[in-house]
Amino acid sequence: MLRGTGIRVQTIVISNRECNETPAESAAQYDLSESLVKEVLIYFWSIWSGFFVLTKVVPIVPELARENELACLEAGLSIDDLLQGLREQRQRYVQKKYGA
Amino acid sequence: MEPEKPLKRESLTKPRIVIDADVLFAGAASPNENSTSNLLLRMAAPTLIEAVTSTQAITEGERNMADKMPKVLPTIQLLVSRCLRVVADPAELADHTDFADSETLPILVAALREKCSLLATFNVRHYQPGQHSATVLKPDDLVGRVRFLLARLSGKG
Repeated sequence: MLRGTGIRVQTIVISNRECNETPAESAAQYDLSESLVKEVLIYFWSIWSGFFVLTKVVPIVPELARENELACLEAGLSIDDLLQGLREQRQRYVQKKYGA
Repeated sequence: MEPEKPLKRESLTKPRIVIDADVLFAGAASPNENSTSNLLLRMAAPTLIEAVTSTQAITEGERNMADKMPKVLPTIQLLVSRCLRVVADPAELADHTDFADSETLPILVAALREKCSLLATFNVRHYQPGQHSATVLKPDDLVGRVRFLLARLSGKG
Protein backbone atom coordinates (compact mmCIF):
# COMPACT_ATOMS: atom_id res chain seq x y z
CA MET A 1 0.00 0.00 0.00
CA LEU A 2 1.38 3.42 -0.85
CA ARG A 3 1.46 5.30 2.42
CA GLY A 4 -1.03 8.09 2.67
CA THR A 5 -2.87 7.22 -0.53
CA GLY A 6 -4.87 4.05 0.11
CA ILE A 7 -3.72 2.76 -3.27
CA ARG A 8 -2.16 -0.66 -3.58
CA VAL A 9 1.03 -1.29 -5.50
CA GLN A 10 -0.81 -4.09 -7.28
CA THR A 11 -3.33 -1.57 -8.62
CA ILE A 12 -0.56 0.47 -10.26
CA VAL A 13 1.16 -2.61 -11.68
CA ILE A 14 -2.06 -4.06 -13.12
CA SER A 15 -2.96 -0.72 -14.66
CA ASN A 16 0.43 -0.63 -16.33
CA ARG A 17 0.78 -4.22 -17.47
CA GLU A 18 -2.77 -5.39 -18.05
CA CYS A 19 -4.53 -2.19 -19.04
CA ASN A 20 -1.51 -0.78 -20.89
CA GLU A 21 -1.74 2.51 -19.05
CA THR A 22 1.30 4.74 -19.20
CA PRO A 23 2.71 6.06 -15.90
CA ALA A 24 1.22 9.46 -16.76
CA GLU A 25 -2.24 7.96 -17.24
CA SER A 26 -2.01 6.00 -13.98
CA ALA A 27 -0.82 9.11 -12.18
CA ALA A 28 -3.81 11.08 -13.44
CA GLN A 29 -6.26 8.33 -12.64
CA TYR A 30 -5.10 7.81 -9.06
CA ASP A 31 -4.06 11.37 -8.31
CA LEU A 32 -0.39 10.51 -7.88
CA SER A 33 2.74 12.10 -9.26
CA GLU A 34 4.10 10.50 -12.41
CA SER A 35 7.52 10.12 -10.78
CA LEU A 36 5.95 8.14 -7.93
CA VAL A 37 4.17 5.82 -10.35
CA LYS A 38 7.44 5.19 -12.18
CA GLU A 39 9.25 4.48 -8.91
CA VAL A 40 6.52 2.03 -7.92
CA LEU A 41 6.88 0.14 -11.20
CA ILE A 42 10.67 0.01 -10.95
CA TYR A 43 10.59 -1.21 -7.36
CA PHE A 44 7.87 -3.76 -8.05
CA TRP A 45 9.72 -5.38 -10.90
CA SER A 46 12.92 -5.49 -8.88
CA ILE A 47 11.33 -6.94 -5.78
CA TRP A 48 8.51 -9.00 -7.37
CA SER A 49 6.47 -9.68 -4.32
CA GLY A 50 5.63 -8.58 -0.81
CA PHE A 51 4.82 -5.09 0.25
CA PHE A 52 6.98 -2.07 0.84
CA VAL A 53 6.55 1.38 2.22
CA LEU A 54 7.62 4.44 0.30
CA THR A 55 9.00 7.22 2.43
CA LYS A 56 10.62 10.47 1.54
CA VAL A 57 14.39 10.08 1.45
CA VAL A 58 16.60 13.07 2.04
CA PRO A 59 19.49 12.77 -0.42
CA ILE A 60 22.71 12.38 1.51
CA VAL A 61 25.21 11.99 -1.30
CA PRO A 62 25.23 15.61 -2.54
CA GLU A 63 25.64 16.96 0.98
CA LEU A 64 28.52 14.64 1.89
CA ALA A 65 30.22 15.18 -1.45
CA ARG A 66 29.99 18.93 -0.92
CA GLU A 67 31.62 18.59 2.51
CA ASN A 68 34.42 16.53 1.02
CA GLU A 69 34.92 18.96 -1.83
CA LEU A 70 35.22 21.89 0.59
CA ALA A 71 37.73 19.98 2.69
CA CYS A 72 39.78 19.24 -0.42
CA LEU A 73 39.67 22.88 -1.55
CA GLU A 74 40.86 24.01 1.87
CA ALA A 75 43.73 21.56 1.64
CA GLY A 76 44.54 22.64 -1.90
CA LEU A 77 43.94 19.16 -3.31
CA SER A 78 42.16 18.27 -6.56
CA ILE A 79 40.34 15.04 -7.45
CA ASP A 80 43.39 13.97 -9.42
CA ASP A 81 45.56 14.57 -6.36
CA LEU A 82 43.21 12.39 -4.30
CA LEU A 83 43.22 9.57 -6.82
CA GLN A 84 46.94 9.62 -7.30
CA GLY A 85 48.38 7.00 -5.05
CA LEU A 86 45.46 4.60 -5.49
CA ARG A 87 47.48 2.51 -7.89
CA GLU A 88 50.36 2.16 -5.45
CA GLN A 89 47.93 1.22 -2.67
CA ARG A 90 46.40 -1.39 -4.98
CA GLN A 91 49.77 -2.90 -5.80
CA ARG A 92 50.69 -3.16 -2.12
CA TYR A 93 47.31 -4.64 -1.17
CA VAL A 94 47.35 -7.32 -3.85
CA GLN A 95 50.99 -8.18 -3.21
CA LYS A 96 50.31 -8.67 0.49
CA LYS A 97 47.05 -10.60 0.08
CA TYR A 98 47.75 -12.69 -3.00
CA GLY A 99 51.50 -12.51 -3.39
CA ALA A 100 50.90 -11.34 -6.97
CA MET B 1 -1.28 -4.75 -33.56
CA GLU B 2 0.47 -7.53 -31.65
CA PRO B 3 0.32 -7.35 -27.85
CA GLU B 4 3.55 -6.25 -26.19
CA LYS B 5 5.61 -9.27 -25.11
CA PRO B 6 6.32 -9.34 -21.39
CA LEU B 7 9.93 -8.61 -20.49
CA LYS B 8 12.03 -11.57 -19.34
CA ARG B 9 12.52 -11.73 -15.61
CA GLU B 10 16.29 -11.34 -15.77
CA SER B 11 15.94 -8.12 -17.71
CA LEU B 12 13.64 -6.75 -15.02
CA THR B 13 16.24 -6.90 -12.27
CA LYS B 14 17.72 -3.58 -11.28
CA PRO B 15 21.31 -3.12 -12.48
CA ARG B 16 23.93 -4.58 -10.16
CA ILE B 17 27.19 -2.64 -10.53
CA VAL B 18 30.64 -2.90 -8.99
CA ILE B 19 32.06 0.52 -8.16
CA ASP B 20 35.86 0.61 -8.29
CA ALA B 21 37.84 2.70 -5.79
CA ASP B 22 38.65 5.49 -8.23
CA VAL B 23 35.00 6.05 -9.13
CA LEU B 24 33.91 5.86 -5.51
CA PHE B 25 36.38 8.45 -4.29
CA ALA B 26 35.93 10.73 -7.30
CA GLY B 27 32.18 10.65 -6.77
CA ALA B 28 32.54 11.19 -3.03
CA ALA B 29 34.35 14.48 -3.59
CA SER B 30 32.46 15.81 -6.66
CA PRO B 31 29.06 17.27 -5.80
CA ASN B 32 28.82 18.65 -9.35
CA GLU B 33 25.58 17.42 -10.97
CA ASN B 34 27.55 16.69 -14.14
CA SER B 35 29.85 14.28 -12.34
CA THR B 36 28.83 10.82 -13.49
CA SER B 37 30.79 9.26 -10.62
CA ASN B 38 28.67 11.24 -8.19
CA LEU B 39 25.54 10.36 -10.16
CA LEU B 40 26.21 6.65 -9.70
CA LEU B 41 26.39 7.15 -5.94
CA ARG B 42 23.21 9.24 -6.01
CA MET B 43 21.42 6.44 -7.82
CA ALA B 44 22.84 3.87 -5.43
CA ALA B 45 21.67 5.62 -2.25
CA PRO B 46 17.91 5.11 -2.91
CA THR B 47 18.76 1.74 -4.50
CA LEU B 48 17.81 2.64 -8.05
CA ILE B 49 20.87 0.57 -8.80
CA GLU B 50 22.49 -2.05 -6.61
CA ALA B 51 26.03 -0.79 -6.03
CA VAL B 52 28.66 -3.18 -4.81
CA THR B 53 32.32 -2.79 -4.00
CA SER B 54 34.95 -5.07 -2.54
CA THR B 55 37.00 -4.96 0.64
CA GLN B 56 40.07 -4.39 -1.54
CA ALA B 57 38.65 -1.26 -3.18
CA ILE B 58 37.53 0.19 0.14
CA THR B 59 40.76 -0.59 1.95
CA GLU B 60 43.07 0.81 -0.70
CA GLY B 61 40.93 3.91 -1.02
CA GLU B 62 40.80 4.49 2.73
CA ARG B 63 44.53 4.04 3.06
CA ASN B 64 45.09 6.54 0.27
CA MET B 65 42.75 9.05 1.90
CA ALA B 66 44.34 8.46 5.31
CA ASP B 67 47.62 9.58 3.79
CA LYS B 68 46.26 12.63 1.99
CA MET B 69 43.04 13.80 3.69
CA PRO B 70 42.29 11.91 6.90
CA LYS B 71 39.69 14.57 7.75
CA VAL B 72 37.25 13.28 5.09
CA LEU B 73 37.50 9.60 6.05
CA PRO B 74 34.38 9.62 8.27
CA THR B 75 32.21 11.14 5.52
CA ILE B 76 33.61 8.70 2.97
CA GLN B 77 32.79 5.82 5.30
CA LEU B 78 29.27 7.18 5.80
CA LEU B 79 28.79 7.42 2.03
CA VAL B 80 29.96 3.83 1.63
CA SER B 81 27.57 2.60 4.31
CA ARG B 82 24.63 4.40 2.66
CA CYS B 83 25.36 3.62 -0.98
CA LEU B 84 27.30 0.41 -1.31
CA ARG B 85 27.28 -3.22 -0.32
CA VAL B 86 30.84 -4.23 0.53
CA VAL B 87 31.70 -7.81 -0.39
CA ALA B 88 34.65 -9.95 0.60
CA ASP B 89 37.68 -10.28 -1.65
CA PRO B 90 37.81 -13.55 -3.57
CA ALA B 91 39.83 -16.28 -1.87
CA GLU B 92 41.12 -17.78 -5.10
CA LEU B 93 42.11 -16.24 -8.40
CA ALA B 94 43.73 -19.20 -10.13
CA ASP B 95 40.83 -19.93 -12.49
CA HIS B 96 40.60 -16.35 -13.72
CA THR B 97 44.18 -15.16 -14.23
CA ASP B 98 43.66 -14.49 -17.95
CA PHE B 99 40.85 -11.99 -17.40
CA ALA B 100 42.69 -8.89 -16.20
CA ASP B 101 45.87 -7.41 -14.74
CA SER B 102 46.93 -9.13 -11.52
CA GLU B 103 46.12 -6.04 -9.43
CA THR B 104 42.60 -5.50 -10.76
CA LEU B 105 41.76 -9.19 -11.11
CA PRO B 106 40.38 -9.58 -7.56
CA ILE B 107 37.90 -6.76 -8.20
CA LEU B 108 36.72 -8.38 -11.44
CA VAL B 109 36.47 -11.84 -9.87
CA ALA B 110 34.39 -10.36 -7.04
CA ALA B 111 32.11 -8.82 -9.67
CA LEU B 112 31.65 -12.18 -11.36
CA ARG B 113 31.02 -13.95 -8.07
CA GLU B 114 28.36 -11.37 -7.09
CA LYS B 115 26.78 -11.63 -10.56
CA CYS B 116 27.34 -7.97 -11.32
CA SER B 117 26.80 -7.30 -14.99
CA LEU B 118 28.57 -3.93 -14.92
CA LEU B 119 31.76 -2.54 -13.38
CA ALA B 120 32.51 1.19 -13.14
CA THR B 121 36.13 2.32 -13.28
CA PHE B 122 38.30 4.99 -14.87
CA ASN B 123 40.93 2.29 -15.33
CA VAL B 124 39.28 0.25 -18.09
CA ARG B 125 42.53 -0.85 -19.75
CA HIS B 126 43.69 -2.76 -16.64
CA TYR B 127 40.54 -4.87 -16.80
CA GLN B 128 41.33 -6.21 -20.27
CA PRO B 129 40.64 -8.63 -21.85
CA GLY B 130 37.81 -8.92 -19.32
CA GLN B 131 35.02 -11.47 -19.11
CA HIS B 132 31.75 -11.27 -20.98
CA SER B 133 29.57 -11.59 -17.87
CA ALA B 134 30.76 -8.25 -16.51
CA THR B 135 31.05 -5.24 -18.78
CA VAL B 136 33.72 -2.78 -17.66
CA LEU B 137 32.95 0.85 -18.45
CA LYS B 138 33.95 4.35 -17.49
CA PRO B 139 31.27 6.19 -15.50
CA ASP B 140 30.15 8.33 -18.47
CA ASP B 141 29.46 5.26 -20.59
CA LEU B 142 28.01 3.26 -17.74
CA VAL B 143 25.44 5.90 -16.82
CA GLY B 144 24.04 5.72 -20.34
CA ARG B 145 23.75 1.96 -20.04
CA VAL B 146 22.03 2.25 -16.65
CA ARG B 147 19.50 4.76 -18.00
CA PHE B 148 18.59 2.29 -20.75
CA LEU B 149 18.18 -0.55 -18.25
CA LEU B 150 16.04 1.53 -15.88
CA ALA B 151 13.86 2.65 -18.78
CA ARG B 152 13.24 -1.03 -19.59
CA LEU B 153 12.22 -1.64 -15.99
CA SER B 154 9.53 1.00 -16.30
CA GLY B 155 8.29 -0.58 -19.52
CA LYS B 156 9.36 2.28 -21.75
CA GLY B 157 12.49 0.68 -23.15
